Amino acid sequence: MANTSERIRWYPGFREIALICLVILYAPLIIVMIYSFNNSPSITIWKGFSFVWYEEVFFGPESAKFKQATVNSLIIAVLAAITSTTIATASALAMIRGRRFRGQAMTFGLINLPLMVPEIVTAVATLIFFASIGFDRGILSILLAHIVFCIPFAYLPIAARLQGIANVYEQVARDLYATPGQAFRLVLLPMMLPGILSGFLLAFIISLDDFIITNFVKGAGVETLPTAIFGAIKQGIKPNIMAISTLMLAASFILVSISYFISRIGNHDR
Amino acid sequence: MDKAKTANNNKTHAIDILSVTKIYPHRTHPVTALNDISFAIEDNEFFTLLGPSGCGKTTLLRMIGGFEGITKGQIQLYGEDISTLQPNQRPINTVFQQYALFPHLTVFENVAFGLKRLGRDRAFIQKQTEAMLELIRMADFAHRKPNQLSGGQQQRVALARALAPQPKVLLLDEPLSALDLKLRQAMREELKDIQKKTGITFIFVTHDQEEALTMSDRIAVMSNGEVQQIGTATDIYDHPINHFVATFIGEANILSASVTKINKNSIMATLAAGGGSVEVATDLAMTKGQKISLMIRPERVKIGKASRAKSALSGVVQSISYLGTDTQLHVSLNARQETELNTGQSNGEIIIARQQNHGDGGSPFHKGDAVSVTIAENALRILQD
Repeated sequence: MANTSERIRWYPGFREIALICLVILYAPLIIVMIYSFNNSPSITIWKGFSFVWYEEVFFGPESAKFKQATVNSLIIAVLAAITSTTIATASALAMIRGRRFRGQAMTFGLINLPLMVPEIVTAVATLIFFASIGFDRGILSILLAHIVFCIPFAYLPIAARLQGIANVYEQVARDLYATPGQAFRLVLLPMMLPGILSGFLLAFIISLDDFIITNFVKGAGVETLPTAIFGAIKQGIKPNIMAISTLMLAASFILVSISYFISRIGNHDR
Repeated sequence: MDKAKTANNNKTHAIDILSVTKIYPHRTHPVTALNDISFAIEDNEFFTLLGPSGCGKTTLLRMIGGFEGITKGQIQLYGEDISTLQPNQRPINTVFQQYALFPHLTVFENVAFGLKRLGRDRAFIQKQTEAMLELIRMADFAHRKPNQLSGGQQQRVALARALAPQPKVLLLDEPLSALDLKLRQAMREELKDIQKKTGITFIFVTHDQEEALTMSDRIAVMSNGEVQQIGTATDIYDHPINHFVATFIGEANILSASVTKINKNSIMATLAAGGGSVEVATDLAMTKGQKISLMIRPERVKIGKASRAKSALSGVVQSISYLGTDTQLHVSLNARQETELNTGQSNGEIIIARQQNHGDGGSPFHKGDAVSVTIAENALRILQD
């Protein structure tokens, strides 16, 4: 580690540029976190420490609206993450363990397309699609849209993990009297598990965070947490938004950390 | 299938390879990995498939294990055709080159894996797994995970895991190649010992001739998808059948000669280099004047001080390598001595001689010395190609 930092010191200005980038990235977040504890309705003037805005979030006049939005967000995120992780696991198995097939490269491209297409385009296209087939907009339409764009996020860590597992493990299992199904269930799946878990968590976070697509495909009156926050901001920024944001940030941070540590543990036993 | 009859015919064979061919299909360049090979492996035998990489030995092993299909022919296990069975349907286990211990299971769970799949009762699994860990002296490590073991320990666990279900045949795919030299030598002894104790037929694949010679009851030397020769270590070393076997195993001098006289169980031949007349035992059909290749191992070539003795060849020492226990000499053979005109001229053929070092200081010879070359009696072999 000392070695690396010394080498970076060789390039003049790098440290300053890095610091500026970090400040630009994180200063707004830190300010939001600090002012969520402000004992004042002002979002710029510090009046002392308090939990008043957190009380407002949980017990204030808008708390019912935010609670419903949170429940919606969690239901959608859990279901979207489970479904997209399952689909992503199956695709990774077909792409990496299955026989070569015609159009394999194109399939890989299709799986990862949502990463490349601008989100607003997907949002508009999905809205038009739902409207044209007469699909009712509500929780179900949000869920379907989320499943689709969560697949690549779940796919990437799962595929990376699977690629690192040599074929020989399944052969050993088959050699030791396991049927193909048992070889998958008892050997390959447990070995893939760290990748699957980190794919699941990533998909969960992405779904929980999504605003653009959700905003297009949600029906009137159905809100997720991001759309509810956006709606609240339109009537002026109150510090309770900062409190919600801080809570979401904490949740994301915890989940991403778990995802990171799971994949690290997984890599250790290889 | 006429089970009774085939079982009777091959009662003692563990494995019968019957006209097995393997072709990897390709639109323009199909590859023949095995070309119509047939042989039998006896019950309770330590049998080695030896050959350079790409000779088809691993392909054959994988076909016996059920991991490769058979293009043509049949593989029988104790007289029963197993060619179309899945790997999990064959009472055959494999020790893979990469060990491939299951990282999420403990040593004990790894060794018990096969027994559990076979549906053995818990008491038996416990007893058998403990016995296997005892056999490889790893009982204290039962609850470790594979990543807490050294390479040699992982290798032994992989062996125990494959032995635990008591397979009829154990396949070993270059299992020692990833270990360092000392460990490899120790594992050779251990493997041989375990084979004796368990009485399971071992089929061992290697490209290391020393490994093959020291461990095997019998060796099949393979090259280019064909079996060149099958025999014990001494058969193969002392009586190589052809050029490939002679040079792949140990070092060999190949001398060209022509047949001058045919006797009942031997022939007389004149060496192209040096012109000495030699008698070679053979039961092959030969004709007078036929050109043949003769093989002699370096340790059976005797080098002496230059002499006028008629039967000896003569030459000049070109190089000397000190090998510790032995000294190896490269001697360029002189053209035939009887023809005065050519005396002392080299015809370019080199013979390698190896002498044991009895005293201090290595060989008494030096580069450039004129020496006599004597070929030990009965040491020449006729190679078939």
